Order: sequence, then C-alpha cells, then structure tokens
Amino acid sequence: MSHSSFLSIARFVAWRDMRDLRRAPALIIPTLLLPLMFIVAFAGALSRLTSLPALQDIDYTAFQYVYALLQAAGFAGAVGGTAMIEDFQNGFMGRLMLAAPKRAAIVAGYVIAMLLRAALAVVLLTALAFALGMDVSGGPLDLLGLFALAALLNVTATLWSTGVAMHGRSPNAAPAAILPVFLLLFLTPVFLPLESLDGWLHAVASANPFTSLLEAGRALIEGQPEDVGMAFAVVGAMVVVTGLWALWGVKRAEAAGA
Amino acid sequence: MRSPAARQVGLLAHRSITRTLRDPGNVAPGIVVPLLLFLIVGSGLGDATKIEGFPTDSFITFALTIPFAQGAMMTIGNTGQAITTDIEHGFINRLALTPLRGVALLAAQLAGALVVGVIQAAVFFGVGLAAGARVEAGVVGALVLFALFIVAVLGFGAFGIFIGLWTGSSPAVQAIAPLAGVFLFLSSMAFPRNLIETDWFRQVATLNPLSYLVEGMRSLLIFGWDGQALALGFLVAGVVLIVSIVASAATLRRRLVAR
Repeated sequence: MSHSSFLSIARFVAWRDMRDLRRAPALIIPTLLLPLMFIVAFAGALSRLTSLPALQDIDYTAFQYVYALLQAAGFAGAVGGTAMIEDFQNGFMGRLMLAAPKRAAIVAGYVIAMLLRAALAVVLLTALAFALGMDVSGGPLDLLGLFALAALLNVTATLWSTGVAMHGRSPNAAPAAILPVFLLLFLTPVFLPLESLDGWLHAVASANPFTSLLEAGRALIEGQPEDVGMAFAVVGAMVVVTGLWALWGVKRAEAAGA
Repeated sequence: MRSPAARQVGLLAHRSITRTLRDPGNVAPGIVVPLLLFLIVGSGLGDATKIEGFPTDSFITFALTIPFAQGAMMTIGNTGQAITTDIEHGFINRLALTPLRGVALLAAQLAGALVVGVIQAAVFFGVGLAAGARVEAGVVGALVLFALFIVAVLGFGAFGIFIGLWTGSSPAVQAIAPLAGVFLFLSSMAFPRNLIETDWFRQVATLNPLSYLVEGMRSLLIFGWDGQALALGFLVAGVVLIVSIVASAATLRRRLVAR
C-alpha cells in the first residue's frame, strides 16, 4: 500500500464531497445557519454587555465572532459523520470499503472535505463579521493561530462523527455524531467570559475542554494571547483520541463486512 | 348527534394527534432545543441584569420567553412535514374525492400541533419555575401566557401547513422551517429593545413583529399586567394565524383543483 494510493483515495472522497456541495450549495446551510444567526443576532443585540466590567474595552462582535467561528468549524466536522452515514445507506461506502486497500484513507478524505467546508464557512463568517464592524486587535500571527485552532477543532469533530458513523453505519447513529459536538459548543462561556458565569454553567464550562479553545481564540483576536499553548495541547489531545476512535470504527466496519 | 362535518374533523384530528404523538421526533426537538437555548442564555447572561435600566433582576425570568417563542416557531417544521407527507403519500388526493371541506382538513391538521403545544407549555413552565423564574402577573398571568403561546403555536402551525401545501416537498419544508427561526433571532428575544445599543439591530427588532410577540409574553413575566404589550402580542399571533389559514385554504383549493 503506497502513500499515493492512500492519498488518491482521500483526494477522491474529498473531491466527491466538494462536487456534491457545488451541485447543491444548500448543503452548507446546516454548517452556517446557526453560527451566522449567533453572530448577527447576539453581536447586534448584546453589544451593551460591554458596559459590564468583565467586557470593558472588548469588541463584542469580535468576542462573538470567535464563538461563531468555532461553532461553524465544529458543525462542519459533525456533518461529516452524517454524510458518511448517508453514504453507508446509499451503498457508496460499501463499494468504497471494497475498493480501498486501506480504509483509513476514507476517513482522511472526509477530514479533508470537512476542512474545506469549514474554510468556506470561515470565509463567509469573517466577511460578515467585518461587515458588522468587527474590530480585530490581534496581528496576522494571532489570526493564524485562531484559524489553526478552528481547523483542529474541525478535524476533532470530523474524526468523532466519522468514527460514530463507522461504528453505527445506520441513521440511528446520526444523533450521536452531532449531539456531543453541539452540546460541548453550547456549554462554554458563549455570551460572557468564564469568570462572569456562576452556578452550574460555570462548573460545566470550566470542565469543558472546548472552553480553553474559546478563551484562547478570544485572547488571540484581542492580540493578548494567553494560555494559547494549553489550548493547542488540549485540541491536539482531542485529535489523537478522536483519531483512535475513528480508526477503531474503521476496524469494526471492516469486521462487520461493510 | 354530531354533524357530518364535525365527525370528519374529529376523525382527522384524532389521526393528526395519534400520528404526532407516535413519533417522539415530532415532540422532543420542540421541547429540548428551546429548553437548551433557555438554559444557556438564562444562565450565561445573568450579569446582564447589572446593566442600568435592565427591567428585572432575574435573567432566568427574562429568558423564559425564549422557549415559548422558539417552541411555537418550531411548530412550522412539524405541521409542514406532516402535510407534505400526506401530499407525497396521496392522502390529500384521496380526500379530494370526498365531500370534506378544506378548512376542516386544516383545522384537523392543527390538532396534533395543539397537543404538542400543551405538552411544551407544561414543560417550559415546570423547568422555568424550577430554574428560579417567576410570573409577575401571577397564576392568571401564567394562564394568559399559556393562551398567547397556544395562539402562536396554532398560527405558526398553520404557517407550516401553508409552506407544506405551497411547496409540496419535505426537503423544501426542512430547508424553510429553520430559516423562519432567523426572524426570532432578529427580534428582542435576547435583550430589551430599549437597551440594544447597535442601531441597525434595534431598528430591525422594532420592525420585526416577533419582537412584539416576545414582549407580550415577557410583560406577564416581568412587569405584571401591561395591556398594550399583551394586545400587540395577541395581535401578532392572531394575524399570523388568520393569514396563514386563509393562505393555506387558498393553496389547498388550488392544489385540489390542479389534480
């Protein structure tokens, strides 16, 4: 099994997804709708929150943009699992599993495809955020760091959801592919910094690994990078764990003769 | 003895209720998603009450309108999906061969939405009160809020039927229903209109009728009795209901004639 065949399978899977997206651009809606609503609605409605001490001197559109960016990246990844489940249902995955000498390449193809979908969403979100008057204090390196965090979160979500798809291989598995990503993204300091939260949400958000990504992303866009190394370590660990989960899923799908 | 029309509506309403309750996928999202947003917004924005001029010291109480408004809007997807399934399976065509009146069919289709609305309201009140929300207008105020919510559920349910009849396609309904939610996000759902600092958003929220529906519900929770806010809330829900039923009836007539 050569690198070229691994890459050609991954490239084919990614190309096929992009072709489907080109034929039906509405497929990007599930990835984009909620993040777009969040940035438009909450950056618009809640800008008065900057009069609170915890948010003083902070651009609230930028504050919400980071959340919407990570949300779009996460949702794009979660959609990868549902796309794979659909492919199991229509028989495409069965044929691909037979044809591909190394099936991990199929997962790699979905990872590339969902990264491309996320990139498209990020371009649209970023353009909208600037149109809404977002003020970015961070430099190009800080922004690069922010996009890298979003990309790694996207890879994590794709590996998780495609792992679920490989394990389940039926529409019943779709909620398990999406819900954990959806819930982990919501159970973070969405509207205010972590220190302003109290009660159950503070406890849950403090324990949620996605919170460190969100806080690092917000620090980067403000040009005051803090705990960025920790955020990369957290998301790196998540990539490794979900990668192992996806590979285990591939083995189970192979064993099941999918 | 019941008239034939009442019997027809009764049978179809029973069918609509049974079909709705048989599939948890028709009930659960309309409860879980609004409650999740309520808990996240309600718990995540507690400090907003420290802003000068904020109308209450309990953001949980302020946010309790979110599940009611969002829950009502999610009815669009349920009723739209149900009617398109009936179209795709030929049920509507078979009904066209009977003397059933179009309005009877529409009223019966809303029965399932009504039952889900009652369940939603009970859960929203239960969770809201358990989370610390209060109803300033008391028990009677809670009943009025329930009534306003039910009118909104029927209104958006009828709108969903219109969308379903108009497009005749499940994927189209599934695409359009979430877009309707965008209008709720562009309302004063998350913050009082007079405290919204961003000019364009305040103007959009002021032009958006859903702001008045939300504010009508909210008035009972945080102010007590505010006749104007309530009247506007009922007006918005009532207009959505009447316009949607008239539009649905016309679209149904056209669809049946076309066959």
